[in-house]
Amino acid sequence: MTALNRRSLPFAGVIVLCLCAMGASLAKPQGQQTQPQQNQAQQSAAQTPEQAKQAEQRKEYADEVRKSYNFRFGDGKISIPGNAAIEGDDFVQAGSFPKATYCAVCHAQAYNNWRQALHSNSFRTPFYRASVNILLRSKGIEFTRHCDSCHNPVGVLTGGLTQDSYVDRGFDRDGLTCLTCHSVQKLQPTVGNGGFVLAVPAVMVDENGNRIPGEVPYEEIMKHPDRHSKAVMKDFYRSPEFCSACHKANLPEPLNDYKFVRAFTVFDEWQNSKFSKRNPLTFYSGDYTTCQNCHMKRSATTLPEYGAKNGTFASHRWTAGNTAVPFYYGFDEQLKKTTEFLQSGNYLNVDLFAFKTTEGKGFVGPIGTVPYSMKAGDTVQAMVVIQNKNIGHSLIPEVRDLYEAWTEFTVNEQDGTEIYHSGYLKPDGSLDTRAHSFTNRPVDEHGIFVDNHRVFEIHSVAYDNTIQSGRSSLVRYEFKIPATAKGPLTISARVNYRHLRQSYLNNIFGTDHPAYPVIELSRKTRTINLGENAPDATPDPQDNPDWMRWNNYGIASLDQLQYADAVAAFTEVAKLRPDYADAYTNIALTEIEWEKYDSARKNLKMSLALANDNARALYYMALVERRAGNSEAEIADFKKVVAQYPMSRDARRELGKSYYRQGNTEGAVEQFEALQVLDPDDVTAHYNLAILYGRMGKDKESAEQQAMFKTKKVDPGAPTYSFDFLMKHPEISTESVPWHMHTDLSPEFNAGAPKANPAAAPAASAPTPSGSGGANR
Amino acid sequence: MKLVLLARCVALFVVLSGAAGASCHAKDMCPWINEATAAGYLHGDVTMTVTHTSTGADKAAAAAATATGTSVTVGDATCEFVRHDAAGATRLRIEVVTMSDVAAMFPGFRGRCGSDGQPVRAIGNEAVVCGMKAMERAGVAEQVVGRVRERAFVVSISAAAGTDQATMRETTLRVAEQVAGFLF
Repeated sequence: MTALNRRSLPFAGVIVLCLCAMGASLAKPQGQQTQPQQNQAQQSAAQTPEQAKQAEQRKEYADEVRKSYNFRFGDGKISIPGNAAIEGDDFVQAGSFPKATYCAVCHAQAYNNWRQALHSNSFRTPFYRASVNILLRSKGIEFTRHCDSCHNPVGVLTGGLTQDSYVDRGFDRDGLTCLTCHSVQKLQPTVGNGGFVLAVPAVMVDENGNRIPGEVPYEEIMKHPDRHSKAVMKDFYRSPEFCSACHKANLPEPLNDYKFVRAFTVFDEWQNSKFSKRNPLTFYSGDYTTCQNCHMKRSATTLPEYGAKNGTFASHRWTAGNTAVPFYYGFDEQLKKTTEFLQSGNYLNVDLFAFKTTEGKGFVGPIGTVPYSMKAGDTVQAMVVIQNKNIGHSLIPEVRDLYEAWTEFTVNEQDGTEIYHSGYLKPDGSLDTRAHSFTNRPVDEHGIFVDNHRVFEIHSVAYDNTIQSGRSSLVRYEFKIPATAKGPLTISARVNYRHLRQSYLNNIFGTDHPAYPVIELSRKTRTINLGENAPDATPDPQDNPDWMRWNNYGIASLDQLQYADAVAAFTEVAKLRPDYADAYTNIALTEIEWEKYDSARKNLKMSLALANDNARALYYMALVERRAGNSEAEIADFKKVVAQYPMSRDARRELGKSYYRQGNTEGAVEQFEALQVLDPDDVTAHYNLAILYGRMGKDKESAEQQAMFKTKKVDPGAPTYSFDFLMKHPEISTESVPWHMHTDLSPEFNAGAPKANPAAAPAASAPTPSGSGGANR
Repeated sequence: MKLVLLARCVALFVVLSGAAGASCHAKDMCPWINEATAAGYLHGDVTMTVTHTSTGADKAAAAAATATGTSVTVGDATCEFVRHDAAGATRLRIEVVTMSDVAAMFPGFRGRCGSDGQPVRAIGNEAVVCGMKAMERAGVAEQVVGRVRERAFVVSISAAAGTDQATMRETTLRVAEQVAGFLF
């Protein structure tokens, strides 16, 4: 700020000064406030003299920043289009944040973890800067407050993200520093985009509980560790909601000049998973598991750490999927632990489930359990079921336009000769265009893929092939066994993961960068005789039991709208496990989607006979009752579900709708309001509350809900942009169809897809076992 | 006649506006880091000089980047921040040049570190760091030479003899990282 104070206007002459003032006025950023805001930071009732002094210094600083800050998005709005907030709603000095090295003196383990983790590198990496720089240069630095509310909240809250900033950006290197997270006092509703509220950082409170800002001597902390803990720890830091503040994001209208567009919803995905214990509709059940339980696992300390308990400490590495950052920085330990994490935990299950051959018995499965024959000359369909078994969110979570996971499927003869290969990496490092990938394709208003993470241009998503937590995906491959083929054949299906997509890496670095790691997440390989194949003598311990294999095949078929196949699969489950109530529920929910309500009712009764008051069965029974016009029974069932699962979004939503239909305004409002606590973005809640509040004479609240419904509702014209893209990319458009086949045999699947040249493909285009090149034979 | 007078007024207004505009922009901003950040690295108030050095390659690169959906800042420049204290001047110099042919031109930049350049990981696409003799008063200097795609950058800090060179190197690396970050 001293630099700002020194500035002068070396002009001579009244006219020039006037014009200068006019120029300054014209140059004033849109929305810049003309009057300083009242500094609320001073309004705290019981301030100590030291606090009052700190508050005064903060006010002076904020007043100075405010003079030139670009308030494009409204007076006093310091972080919009992001949501990062700080008590007092005003700028704070960068020096208010104690440096991480200060914390490291007593928390060496945490510091060491953090330095290599994504959180400390949330801003500085090329992978982020390339993206945010585009926004900065395309629209202006003030728009980057959207991204930086999470990636660089210190930058936002110090007022550094404005044109001609006079804020020392030395803190950029530390991204989310210790006292970013450990200063959060409360959470905003779970809308993401930086939905937290910080206090001015403090590492101690005084004997009266007043926060003592800044770095205090270590001996003071050692004398009063409880007061240190009180300043830097909150119970909610251990909750998934804490993570939701940034691991949920949307693209708001101020950012894109369009409308609210959902970006990613990892928190919502967790909430809908079996691990939250909040959703009665999951296919499987599991123990309550938070984000922190997986991503901050406790492990033995190797460095001094006062936060350790019994020699263990919650990891501050937040190991997850990002291998690019540790690879770039040479953080070998982080890369090793990230790889181990990705390959541990039984997160995914790959099942080579069934074959269909041109001759023989047709559908044979589950492979390994039933005998079958296969011979040279056969055309074979292989069905690979990929189960998101133990990930508490989707595969891939968050930015699917940049991260890349895909299925690699190979068929080889005995001597290694390749018969079929899908999901290979091309010589230039890019992925086989027709690979089954768990990515998406956001497109702009011209139907063009939004490359380079230019999220402010997204208008639609052409396809999104993620697998939600607990669900399964069925990937079909078709190949022909050459008449001259020598058996046995080796068939392998694996799921690979790469951080990041090759074209994005190329945009960041140019094409002359090293190959980034490809991690094999899970694999299933089987040896197939050309001739008779008997059931496995010994089951692979990694395989699911047969009833679960059928169940997953059923789930995948359901998601591909193959209702007959799904019902048949779930019926097999019921045969194998007649005691398994969910088998009948699964048949029923398929039949509900298929509009076979009578049969659904029969199966739900069987389910409820096995598991009385089972919430999942009751939920679907309520839908059947609704269809039959039995509103009292419908409401009674939904109420039982809500009683068992008060945090179920679906149950709250449906019970609200039931009450609405019944004319029970109060009951409906109660449910929709509860739903909004669980998901502030639920459009059904917005829509219905807009009407209900209106009926109740709450015009202001009604208008607010109406406005939120309007912006959050998916643009009805959005599919047009997707269709434009898919028309231009027939090689990809099949991925947008729920049921599709990966094959080299049918010309229609090959449109626009150049075949790779096997000779040109390097043996190892990425530094991992799964980085093989190769191509279609 | 009125039209002529009006035209003269408009012309005068335009001239004065232009002059005012030029004067109002009292100081060129360094595209890579701001004055406050430089002051933070040099531990005191600094004076800043920015020299624009466009050769045309930067504009061509910007046009190409726009076509591919990427983005680069137009305008090569050299920024110099100087801090004076009792020991003398500490100088931070940042030079960014767009190369029309990376393979041909970058070795020339890298050669500024001579054979002493040590490769540095995680600054731009590639970078080397080296110690140097300062131009003035037998002082010391540290320099990082690197590139982000087709843009070369040279960051150097020089100070009076006796300055802790290890600290200076660390600071130079941090500035270089910040510059590279902006060039991505």
